Amino acid sequence: MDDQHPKPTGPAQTGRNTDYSKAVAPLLTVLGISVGAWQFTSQMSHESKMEFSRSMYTKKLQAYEEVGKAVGDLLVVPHDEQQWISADDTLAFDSCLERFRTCYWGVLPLVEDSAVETAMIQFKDMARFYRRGENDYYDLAREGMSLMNACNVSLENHWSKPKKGE
Amino acid sequence: MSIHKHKHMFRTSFLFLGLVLGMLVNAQDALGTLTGGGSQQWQVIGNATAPKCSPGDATYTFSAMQVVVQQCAGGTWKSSNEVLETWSAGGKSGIAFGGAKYEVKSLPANAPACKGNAHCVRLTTVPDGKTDATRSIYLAH
Repeated sequence: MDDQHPKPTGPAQTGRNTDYSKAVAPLLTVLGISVGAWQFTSQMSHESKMEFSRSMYTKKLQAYEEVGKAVGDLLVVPHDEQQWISADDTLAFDSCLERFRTCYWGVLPLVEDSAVETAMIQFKDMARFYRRGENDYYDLAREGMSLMNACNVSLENHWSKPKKGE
Repeated sequence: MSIHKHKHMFRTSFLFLGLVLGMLVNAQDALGTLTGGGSQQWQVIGNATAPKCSPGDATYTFSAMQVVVQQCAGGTWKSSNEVLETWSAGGKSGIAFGGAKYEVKSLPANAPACKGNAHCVRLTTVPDGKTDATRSIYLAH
């Protein structure tokens, strides 16, 4: 068979090879540029997502710190940690509660997750109940601890939990 | 090393079991307070006096498995039966009926909301994730 149809080795064959390489080279260039562009875009997208996540984390941390201060202030109003609120403490307590409510409505809605939101609602309710003399200091302190734990878990989950839609 | 590991596992298991049992006991306590061991009727504090009722007036009759809710609508009482269940989650417990979960707290008679009623409880809804508002019902019997 080989004898009957010998491989063409003349100038015509060399010309065809040159034609192929001429066609393949631009294709490879285009492919290389496309892959590079895709890599660049994907890298940029990843970077911008990370940047957003980083800035959200910082905002979250600042917001939770502010909440922590507001909770702490509410819990130290009763100077001797007496079981029920005393008439002398109500004014200071109301002032601190105002600051907590500012966090509740103004700072946290942008960054909080559902667990923190629930803990915020429950602490707000408990502060109201304590102020009315329905719950004692220990209930308030317990809700405060639950809220700060929820904030802590929320910060821990920020990097480990995949966001919705990602 | 292995003994320490087993000890740690046992301790964790007992702690977890204790926590679960504690929550169950609390939920049963809440139910016991409301049912009084049988069936007990509670009135919303501030209900208008019979025979006429005002909007917002309600009575709740708790028994082991159900609660009969009577609500005032258009000057007359309307009654409905709801299944009563207990719940416990995240270190808290309470009762659930009518599509809402409640935490139950016995209040001292000198709490302003009790208006001098010795047997006074507060049912507070647990946040459901849909709205920020929680609701408190103050009951006495």
